[in-house]
This record gives sequence, C-alpha cells and structure tokens, in this order.
Amino acid sequence: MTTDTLISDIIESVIKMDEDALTALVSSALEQGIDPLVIINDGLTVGLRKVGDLFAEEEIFLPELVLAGEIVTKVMETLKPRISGEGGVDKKGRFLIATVKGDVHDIGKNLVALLLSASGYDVVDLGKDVSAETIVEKIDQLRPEIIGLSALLSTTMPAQKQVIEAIEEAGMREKVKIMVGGAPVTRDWAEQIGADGYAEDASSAVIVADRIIKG
Amino acid sequence: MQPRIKVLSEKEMVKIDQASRALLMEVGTHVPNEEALEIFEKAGAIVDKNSQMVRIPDHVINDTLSKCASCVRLYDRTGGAPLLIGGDRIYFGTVGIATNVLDFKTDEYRPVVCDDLRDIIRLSDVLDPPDFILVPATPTDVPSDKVDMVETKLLLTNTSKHFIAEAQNGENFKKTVAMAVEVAGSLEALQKRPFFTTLVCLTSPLVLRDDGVELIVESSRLGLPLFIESGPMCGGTSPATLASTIIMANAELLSSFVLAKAVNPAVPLIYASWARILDMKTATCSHGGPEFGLLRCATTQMAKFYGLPSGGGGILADTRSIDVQLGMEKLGTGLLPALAETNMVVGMGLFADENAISLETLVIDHEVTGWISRVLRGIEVTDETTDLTIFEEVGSGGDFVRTKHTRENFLKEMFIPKIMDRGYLALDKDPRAKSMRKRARKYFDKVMEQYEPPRLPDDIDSRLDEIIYG
Repeated sequence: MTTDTLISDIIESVIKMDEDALTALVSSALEQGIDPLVIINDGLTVGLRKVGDLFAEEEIFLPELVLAGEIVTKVMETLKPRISGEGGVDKKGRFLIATVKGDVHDIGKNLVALLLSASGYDVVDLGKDVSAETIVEKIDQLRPEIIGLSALLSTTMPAQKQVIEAIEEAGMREKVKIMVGGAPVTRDWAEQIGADGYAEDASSAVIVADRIIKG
Repeated sequence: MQPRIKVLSEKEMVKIDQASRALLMEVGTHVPNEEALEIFEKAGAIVDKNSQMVRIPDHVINDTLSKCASCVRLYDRTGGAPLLIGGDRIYFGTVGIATNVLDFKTDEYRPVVCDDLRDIIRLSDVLDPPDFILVPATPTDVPSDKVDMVETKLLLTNTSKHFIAEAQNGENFKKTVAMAVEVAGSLEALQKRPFFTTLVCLTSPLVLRDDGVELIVESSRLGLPLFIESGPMCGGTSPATLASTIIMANAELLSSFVLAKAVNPAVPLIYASWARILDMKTATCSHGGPEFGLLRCATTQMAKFYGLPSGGGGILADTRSIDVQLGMEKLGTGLLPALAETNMVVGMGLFADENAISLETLVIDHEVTGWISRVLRGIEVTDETTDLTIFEEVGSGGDFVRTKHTRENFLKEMFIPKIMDRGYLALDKDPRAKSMRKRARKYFDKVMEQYEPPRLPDDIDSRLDEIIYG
C-alpha cells in the first residue's frame, strides 16, 4: 500500500470507529517507515476532525463522538514514545483541565479533554469540583502551557473568575493561557473575566487551543 | 408498557351502537340512486322508492359486519410486504383537498398547481412516514372535471407507495382503474395486489350521495379497497353533543358498509371518520381543537368495537400560519388518535383548517410522527433494560456517555429529532435564528437528494393522458 492509501484508510477507520482496523493500519504504516507525525497529523487528526464534522451535521451522536475520541487517544498513546521532541506532537503542550469549585458536571469537560488528547495534547484532567487553590498548586507543579475551566451552572461561573484571580495573585498569569467554557458561559463573560479563549463546543475547543498556544 | 387511551367505556359504546342502529331504522338514510336502492332492498333493507329512504334492520347490519375483515392489506408497487391495516398497528398518511399552498420560497399563499402536487408527492415518497399517500392537494390549473384523474396520474408517476385516490364519480373511477391497470400490467395484477384505495366522503346528515354510491358500488365490484369517511360537524350537520355526533358518524358508516358488502362480501373496507365540530365563532369546521382529538379516539373505538380497521383525520391544524398554534394542534390531534390506535391517521402536511398545504408543514409533521411514535413505544422494563452490570461498570461518580451500553442503546431508547431545536442558549441567543421552519427547509433539501422516481415505461405519460383526455 502506498503512503497515501494507508493514510486515507486510517482516516476512514477513525470515521468508522473501527479500533482493530485502525490499530492494524497504524502498525503497517510504522512498518513501512511512515513518520509517526504524518500518521498523527495527516491521518488521526484529520479523521477526528471529520468525525467532529459528522457530529455537527447530526450524522453521528455524542456516544459515537466519544468512542472515536477514545480510540484515537489510545492509538496516539502508542505513537507518542516514537516521537522525538523536534516538531513532535509533544510540542502541542500540556493542557490542564477542570470543572470549577461547586460544580459537579463533567460530561462536557470530559469530552473536551478527550478531543484534546486525541488531537495530541498532553491532557491532565483534575476532575470536577476543583478549588482555585488546587488549580494554582497544580499549575505550579505541572507547568502546563494552557488550562481549561468548565462551569455548567450560572451559579458556578463566578468560580472561573476566582481561579483567574488566584492565578494572578500567585504571580503565574503570564506563564499560562486560560480557556473557559460550559453551557452558560459566553464570549462576553470570557472577555470580562480576562480569559484568553472561549470555545462553544468540544470540537472548537481544540481549534481555539491550537490558536492560543501558537499566539 | 405501551401507553394507550380510551375515551369511551364498553357500556358507552353499546349505547352508541344501539342508538346508531335505531337511527338507521327510525330515521333512515336518503339514497337518491336507483341502483343502490335495489342493492339495499336485496340485502334486506326496507326501501321506500318514492321517498328514496332506506331503513336498515339490525340483522342486515349484523350480516354486513360478519362479512368484514378485521385487517385490510394495502400494497405498494415495489413488491414489498403490505401495510396491515387493523388491530394495534398505527400508520400515518397525508391528506388532500387543499387548494392553497404556502409557497416555500415567497412565504405567500397561492393556488395549488400540478407542480406543487408533484413536489408534495415526491416529498411524501422520501419521508417515512407518510406510510401511505392520500392525494395531498387539489391542483387548480386543470379542468375541474378531470382534476381527480390528473391527481392519480401524478401519484402513479411520482411514488411507489400505496396511495388513496379521489374520484368524482363512477365514470372517473373507471378511468382511474384503467390508469392503474396501465401501471400494474393487468386488472388481475391490480386486484391481486391493489396499490391504491379509493376515498369515499359521506354526506351528513344521513345522505348517501350519487357520487359516493357510484364509487362504493364500482370499487366493490372490482374488490378494490375503500377508505370510507364520515365527517359530521357537531352543531352543524349533527346534533350539538359529541355523543350524538359519534352516533351520526357511526350510522352513516354502517349504512355505507351495508351497501359495499351487499355488492361484494370480499371488498376490503376501512372505517374512517373526520367527525368534528362547527366552530361557532367563525362558522368553519375545526380540526385542531380538543374535541377533534376526542372524537377521533371515539370513532376509532367504535371501529374496534365492531372489529374493523380504523382511520381518520389527525395531525391537523386550523391555524393559517406556521406558528406556535400549529405545533400545539398538530401534536394534540396526532397524539390522541395514535394513543387510541387509529390504524390510519391522515393529515400530514395539511393546515389552515383544510385549506392549505406546504412542504414545510409536511416536514414538520414528519417530526411530529416521530415524536408520537416514540411515545407509543412506551418504556420497556425488562431484565435486560434493568440489568445492574452497567451500574457496576461505571460505579458512583462516573459517566455513562462513553460506555458500550450507551452506544448500543441510545438509538433504541431515544427519539433523535431531525428539526427540533435543542442546544445551549449561550450558543445562539437570537430567538428567531433556528426556527423550526428554517430547519424544515434545510431538512427538505437534504432528504430530497434521496428521491428516485418509480420505474415506469417510457410512454406511460401519453398512455395515461389518453385515458384522461382521450
């Protein structure tokens, strides 16, 4: 098989959410000496983006989107050790994600985390109902490039603001980019509390993260 | 269990049955048609040829009912399994007579032309439901004495689904059959798998009009199925109690069944009704109110009381706009008959009382039928759906979105809307941005890509035109 055929088959198997086929295709791509980065950037990421498009077009639904994300994340993990630092996916950076204090809703946050890992981020998920202190502590310890704060209730949105203030007080605001999201969260709110980015859904969260981290 | 409703008790149905039989004897039915009078007389009815009044004794009704099938098979032209009309099966269809169309592009009303009817039939062909197509509009750009046959031609050439045809009289019915024979190959083939049913609308109070009689007699002779509707208007063409309106509708249907079965005991008959109210504010009949839903449940129950396949209006609306009222009326008048197990609910696409149709309302009504069908399926509580394994797998505090169990079950358990608006308010704060109409138009474009016309001989157009105009 040519590189092009292999890559397009990889894309196809991501879209079909066929884990066995995807694993086999990635193995033969590696055997043929195809750069793991090419597999990730031209294959897995493209496939996942198409899955995201199908989700947006209501052709597939949430459980299928999640499955595709999980399959790609799994394959991505097997590829990571093969990637040298140079221009590698590691360069995308570490992404710390949490649902803020007082809020126990995490399905949306989990989906964002999944799609971020599937697109090559080193995602550390701090879970739900996470206090500002814990987040500051973890930033200090893990040195992420970017953090994401989720709130599903209008009553917990202020906690996003408190986290940003705590980061400022700890003198770490310049060291980390901050994204916010969640059902009641708007672009206006994001700007008002001084976040660097806002995404309306999981697929666009990846796009926004990519943009922020470059800029 | 699957939720179902009843609006009449057994005792009340017996009362309505007895009153209907009394009505047919004591008041009688006016039948201004010599041939029909003779058929009624032979069947055992008491006929006064001078006044043309027919009185039907109990034993004749019993005899008629004993000849009726509890299930009628309606075929399509693809050779697939027939729709089984009867019992607890519920199907949805379009309905006709609208002469106005709310134009998709201009958003203005204009008279229906043949191209509109063609487009509506094609949309009805790709959407599912409609499970069958009752001619969904009346074109105004053809001679009125031929319009029924033009409608049938458009049905024959644009869909393979089973359809219910209109015919103005016996002569046009014969031509309708001739057209169907052109497509079926032979009369025998058509009789073996009839792919169309003929619509008969009875006249209240208690008249069997010439045209209706001709259709009943001619179609019965050929053994082709009949969808017979009675539509008394409570307070107008029937007394102003809902119970009396049911009696009127029932009596009229029974008298028409006597005629049909006297001609041919094998003719498949469907007991259908549009019993409704006269709106006392506007002097129009209303098809969107609570009484309509109640009456439909009641006439359906009467059909079941006799063991007959049932049909009738539903998913209807009086509103002249595609608005909030439309949604309220369509769901109410669709859900109630469906819960009563009306076998053929006809109404998809129709609104503005009975005067208008549109592609958008047809798509909206398709969504309504999806919503209703999910309700009908109820909640399945079995060992499988209550199994603890999945609870244990996820444990406390986890989420179920990512489980195989969810992937295997969500499509079975959940209705996935095609055009209903759902989503986070934060994403779109313009209350007009995602109206159902806009989504319906978008879905129309998408679904029409799947349309494929039925395979027919190249010269079918001219052969059908020869029958219509020749």
